[in-house]
Amino acid sequence: MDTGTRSHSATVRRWRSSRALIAGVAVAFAVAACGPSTGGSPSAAVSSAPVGSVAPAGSASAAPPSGEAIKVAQIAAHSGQLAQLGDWDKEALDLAFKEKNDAGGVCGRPLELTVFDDQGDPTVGVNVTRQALDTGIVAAFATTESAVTLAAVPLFAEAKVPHFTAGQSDAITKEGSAYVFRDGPPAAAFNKTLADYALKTKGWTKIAMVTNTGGYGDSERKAFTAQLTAANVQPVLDATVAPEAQEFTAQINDIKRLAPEAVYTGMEEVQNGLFAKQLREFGITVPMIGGPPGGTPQFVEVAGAAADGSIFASPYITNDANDQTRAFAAAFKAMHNKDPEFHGAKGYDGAQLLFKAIEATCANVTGETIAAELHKISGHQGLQGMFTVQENGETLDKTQVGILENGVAKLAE
Amino acid sequence: MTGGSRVGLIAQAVALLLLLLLPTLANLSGYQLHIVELILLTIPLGIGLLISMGHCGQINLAQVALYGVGAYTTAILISRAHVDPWAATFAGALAGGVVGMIVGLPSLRIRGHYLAIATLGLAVAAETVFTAGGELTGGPLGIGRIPALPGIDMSEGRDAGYYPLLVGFFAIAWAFARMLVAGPIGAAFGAIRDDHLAAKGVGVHVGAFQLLAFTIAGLLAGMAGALYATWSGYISPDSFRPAQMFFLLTILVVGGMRSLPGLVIATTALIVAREAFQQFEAYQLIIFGSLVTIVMLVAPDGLAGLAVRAARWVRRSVSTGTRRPATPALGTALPSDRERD
Amino acid sequence: MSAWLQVVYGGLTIGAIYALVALGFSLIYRTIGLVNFAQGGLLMLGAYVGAILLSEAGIPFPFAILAAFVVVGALGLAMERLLRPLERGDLMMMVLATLGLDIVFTNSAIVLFGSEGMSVAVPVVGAPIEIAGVTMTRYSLVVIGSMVVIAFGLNTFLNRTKTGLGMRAIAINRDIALVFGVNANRMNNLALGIGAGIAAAGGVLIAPILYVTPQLGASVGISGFAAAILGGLGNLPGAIVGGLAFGVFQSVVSVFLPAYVNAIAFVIFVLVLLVRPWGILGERNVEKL
Repeated sequence: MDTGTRSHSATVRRWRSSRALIAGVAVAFAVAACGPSTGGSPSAAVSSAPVGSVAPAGSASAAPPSGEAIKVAQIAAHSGQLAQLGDWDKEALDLAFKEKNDAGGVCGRPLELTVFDDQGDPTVGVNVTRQALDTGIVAAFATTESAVTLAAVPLFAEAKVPHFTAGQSDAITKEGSAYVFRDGPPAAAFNKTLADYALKTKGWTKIAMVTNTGGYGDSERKAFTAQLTAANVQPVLDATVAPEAQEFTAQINDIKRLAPEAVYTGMEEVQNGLFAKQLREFGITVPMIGGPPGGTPQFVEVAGAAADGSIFASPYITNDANDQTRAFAAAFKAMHNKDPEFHGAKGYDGAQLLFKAIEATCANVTGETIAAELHKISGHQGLQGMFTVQENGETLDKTQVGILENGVAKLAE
Repeated sequence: MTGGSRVGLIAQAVALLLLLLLPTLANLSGYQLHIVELILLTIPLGIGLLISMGHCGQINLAQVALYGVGAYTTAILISRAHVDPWAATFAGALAGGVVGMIVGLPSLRIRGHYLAIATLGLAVAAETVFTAGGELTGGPLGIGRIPALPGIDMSEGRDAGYYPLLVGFFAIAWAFARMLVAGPIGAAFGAIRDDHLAAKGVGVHVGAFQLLAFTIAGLLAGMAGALYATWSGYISPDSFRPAQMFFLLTILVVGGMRSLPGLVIATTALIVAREAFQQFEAYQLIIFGSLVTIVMLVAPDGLAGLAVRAARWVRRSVSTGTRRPATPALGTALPSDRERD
Repeated sequence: MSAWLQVVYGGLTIGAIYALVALGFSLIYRTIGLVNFAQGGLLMLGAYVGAILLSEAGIPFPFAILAAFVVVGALGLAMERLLRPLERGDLMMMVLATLGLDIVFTNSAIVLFGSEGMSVAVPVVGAPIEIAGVTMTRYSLVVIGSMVVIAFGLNTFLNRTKTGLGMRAIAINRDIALVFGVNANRMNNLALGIGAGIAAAGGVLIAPILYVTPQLGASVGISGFAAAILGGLGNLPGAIVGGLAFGVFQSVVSVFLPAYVNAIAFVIFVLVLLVRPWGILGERNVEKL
C-alpha cells in the first residue's frame, strides 16, 4: 500500500465515484423514461401473440369486436421448475379468449390477454403483478402457485382487480380478500372426496402418508390429516420429504414394514412419479392415492408402468365425461394438437366465469364491478362441475375419484 | 480536504437529492417505483459481498441466505412475537451479522474452493430450514401480511412511503463502504486478499479481519432483508434460494468485484435487463453465465473496469498521441490495482 | 438390523453417483489444479445425451453411457481450452468462471430440451433380489457395479498407459514431469475431458432412477463436490469413499428428519471440513491458514 499516492488517488477516486453515482441516477432516470407511466404497456410486458387483437374477419356469426380492448393478464410460471403449470394454464386461456373474440368479444369489445412470467418466485410475482396492474388490466389469472398467489393477493385487493388463482392451498381464501377467486376446488375438497373413498367406500383404515414439505405437499398433508382426524383414523405413517428429494428408500422401507392398505402421497407430478416407480421396483403393490398429480400424463410419463392403479381425486378426470367436456377437448386439440387435462379445464372454466361477469358489467367495466358480479355467480355449469361463488372466493367444492388403467384415467367405480 | 473532494461531496449530495426526487421528477409508475426500490435494496446486499469477497477475498456464496436470515428474523419477530417493528428490523440486521460471522468461521481454517463449497453448503442448509421450519417460518408458503414499519406514510401506498427510507439505507451503505474501504480496515482486507500469509507476517490479525468482513456482509444483508420483509409485506423461501445468489454474483463480477460505482451501475443495469427480458429467463441466464465466465477470462476487474480502462486509454491517446507500453515497468503496480485498493 | 442395512444400501446407490462426480472433480483438480463447479452441469448434459439416445434411437444402455462419455468428454476438452488462462491461478476466478459455465449449461438445456424433463425406463427389469433381509433392486446393482467398473477403468488407464502415467506424473510433481517432457497442456486437456466424461456416465446411470431435467445437476453436483472434499480433493480412492459415505449419510439422516436432510448433511459436512480440511483420506496439503 503506497500511502504517498493514497490521498491523491483517494480524491480522484471520490470524484470518479461521485460521477458514477450521478451516472447511476441518470441510468435510473433513463429506465423511468423507457416506459410512460400512464397508458401503454411498459416495455417489459411481452404480449403473447395478442390473442385478443386478432379478430378473424371470416366469422359470419358475429361482427368483429370494436372499441377499446378489455385487458386481462395471466401471471404464472413460464420458466423455472413450475413452468409446465403456467403453460397448461395459458393454453386453456388462449383457447377461451380466441373463442370469445371469434364470437364477437365481450360487450362488443375485444379481449386482450397479456402474459407475464413470475418464474414461480413470489418476489418476481410481486414485480410483474405491479407491472400488470400498471397496464390497466381489469382482471387477471394469477397465479399458478400458492406462495406466489399469497404474495400477490394484497396487491390485487389494493388495486381492486379480481384474480383467479390456480393454487390449491386452503390458506389463499382465508386472506380475507374480496378479489381472489379459485378456478378449481381447494385442497380441502380434494381430500374430503379422497378420504371418503378410502375410508368409506374401500373401508381402509391402515393408511401411510408421504408428502413433501413444499407448498403443495404441505397443504395436502394438512387437508388429508384433517379428514382422517375427523374420522378418528390415525395414519400408520406420516412421512415428509424435501420437495427436491428423489430417493425414497427410507420411506419405502417403512411402508414395507408397516404393510398399509394404501399409500397417500402429496407431491407434484415428477416426484410422485419417481416415488411410484421406486415403490413398485421394490415389489410393493399397495394402492397409491392422492390429488390430481396422480392422474396426469406427466405422472404417467415419469412413472411408466408403475403409474397403473394410481387412485386420484380430481374434478376433471376424463375428457369423455359429457358433451361439454368432449367439445372442449376437441377444440383444445384443434388448437394445440394435444389432449387437455385437469389444469386446462381449470383455466378454461375460470375464463368462462370471468366472461360471464364482464358481460354483466358492460356499462362500466372495472375490476371492482367485475368482482362484484363474480360474487353473484351461482349454479354455473363448467367443465369441472357446478360453480357457485362464495364470499371468500371459493367456487367449487366437489371432486371425483379416478383411477389410471394402462396410462388412461378412468372414473373409479 | 482538497478542492477536488469538496466538489466530489457536493456532486454526491446533488446526486442524492436527485435520487430522492426521482419518483416525482420522472413521474414513475407504481411498477417502475417498485423496481427502483428493489435496486436500492439490492445494492447494499451487493456491497456486503463487495466488501467480503471483493476486498477481503473471502468467497461468500451465502450472502442471499443471510439476506433471508434478516428477512425471516424480522418477519417472525413482528408476526409471531409481536415485537416493535423497528426493533425487529434492527434485530434482523443483527441476526444477519451474527449468522454472517458463523458462516465466516470456516474461513479461519479453509480458503478458496473449500470455502466456496462450505458457504454454499450453509446457504443450502439455511434454505432448507426456511422451507421446513413449520409454523415458525410458515413453511413453503412463507409469512404474509407483514405490516409496514410504523411512521411510514402509507397515504400513497407502501412503495411511495418506503422510498425515502430506502434511499437513506442505500446512502448510508454507500458512505459506510467508502469510508471502510479507504480506511485501515480496507487496507487490512486488501493485504489479506493479496497474500494472507504475508499479511499475517506483518502482524495483521487475519482471522479477526476475515470474520469482520463476513460480519459486515451479514449486517448489510440482514438489514436489506429486514427492510425487504416489511417493504414487500410477504416473504417465502423462494426468494432466498441459492439460484438468486448467482444473480448477485453476476452483479458483483460485472461491476468489477471491488468498484462501488461499478456495483451501482451493474445492479441497475442487470435488474433492468432482468425485468425487460423476463420472458426469456433461460436465454437471460445463458447470457449472465457467459458474461461471468468471459469477464473472468478477459477482464477480471469487470465490465466497469474495462470501461474505465478504455476511457483512460482513449484519453491518453488523445492527449499524447502515443500509446504507453503495454507492460508496466517492473515494480510499478498496474493502474487497475491501484485504483481498486 | 436389516432395516438399517436397507437404509445403508439405499444410500450406496445414490452414493455411487456422487462417487463418479467426485472422481471427475478430483481427477481434474489433481491434474490441472482447476476446481470445476460445472461438474453438475456436465452430469446433467450426459443424462440428456443418454436419455435422448435411449428413447429416440433405442440403443442399448451400455452404448448410451459410452456415447454420453464421448460427447460430454469432447465438451470437456473444449472447456479446458477455454479456461486455460485461469489454470493454477486465482481460485475465486476459477470458481466464478466454472459456476458461470454451469449456469450456461443448465439454461442451454432448458432452451434445447425444454424444462419439462424426460423419463428414462429402467433398463433391467425383474423382481428385486433379497439378501440378508435387504431388498436390492436389480438396477441399483447395475449402478453400483458400473461405478466400480468405471473406477477400475480409470485406475488401469492411470497406471498402465503412457498417457495415464504422464497424467499421474503431472499430478504428483508438475515441474519434474515437465522436465521429463510430459506435455502438460495435453494432459490437462485430457483430464478435463475424462473428468467430464465420467460425470456424464454418472448422469446416464442416474437417469432411470431420477427424472432428467435441466436442474438435475444442481443437487447431485453440490453433493458430489462435497463428497470429493470429504474424500480429500485430488484423492481418487478418497472420492469413491467420500461419495459412498455422503450417500449413506444422507440416507441415514432421512430416516430421522427427511425434510432436513440437506440442512443436516451440509452443516455436518462443514463441521468435518473444519476439523479435517484435508478430508477423510486426503493428505494435509490443503491451502489453509
